[in-house]
Amino acid sequence: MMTEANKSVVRRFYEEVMNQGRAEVLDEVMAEAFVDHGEALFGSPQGRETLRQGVIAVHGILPDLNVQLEEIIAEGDLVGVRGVMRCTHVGVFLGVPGTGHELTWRGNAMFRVIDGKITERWFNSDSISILRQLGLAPATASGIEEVPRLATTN
Amino acid sequence: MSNSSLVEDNKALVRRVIEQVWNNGEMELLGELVLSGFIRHHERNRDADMHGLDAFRAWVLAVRAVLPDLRLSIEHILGENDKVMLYLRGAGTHGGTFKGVAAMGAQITFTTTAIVRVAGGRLAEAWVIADTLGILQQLGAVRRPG
Repeated sequence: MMTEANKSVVRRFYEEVMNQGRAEVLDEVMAEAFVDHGEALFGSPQGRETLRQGVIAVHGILPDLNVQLEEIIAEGDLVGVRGVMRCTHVGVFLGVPGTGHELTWRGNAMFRVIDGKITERWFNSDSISILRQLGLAPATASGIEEVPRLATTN
Repeated sequence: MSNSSLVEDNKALVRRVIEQVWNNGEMELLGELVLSGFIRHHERNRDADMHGLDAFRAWVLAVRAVLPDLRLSIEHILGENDKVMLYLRGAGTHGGTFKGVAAMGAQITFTTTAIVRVAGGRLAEAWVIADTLGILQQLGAVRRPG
């Protein structure tokens, strides 16, 4: 089934590219004209080469990063995942020097897969959690515990 | 019922929840559309999970108090078995106090990605992540770090 093949492509993106850091595998699982639809914290790198440079850079900063997929579903040319990112904060991440602490956060992402390659991605990650773990929680941090309610404005 | 028609029914339910409950504020429909045992899984704090219809109602009302003219648009939707995933674009005018930031009439736009589980024709569970940082930045509450 096409949807199962599409899921396999997305699994390879996470397992081989993100987790194992094999940036060259991107050529097999992603279209050159890849379009990203991100969010405020991580932005939207455009194109496979830009993403490749990002993967290489992040493996220098968070060398043991691991995304565990808790769910993967698909329909038509779309694949959706729900996952947890875990990593050790070794290098300068979002301006914060490495601490050796473990960082972990959740994210949801949707992919479009055309002819066996990822052409688009839409995602949201728990950016507030990342900021808090880095000690970057904003001045309004005392109230931010309730932010998820609007956050989930969804 | 074939899997594909079940998926279509599930997607239709999710569209009704977005359009009628979130966008139109038709709270009287909640009992028909959402299970009494509904759970919204918090992004990072299990103790903050949301349980039940009253919690769902309070969630919608809280968001609509901040953004009274809230419009959620489903940009992409997919379903498989009992799950539906959607990518939403939200827009609204800041009309209430949010995190101590008084309403300034700012136009806020944001994205949200959600997976939901449907059971017995009603919403049973949700895993939702919104671009909260983007919302706070638009309200002038935080600046981009780094």
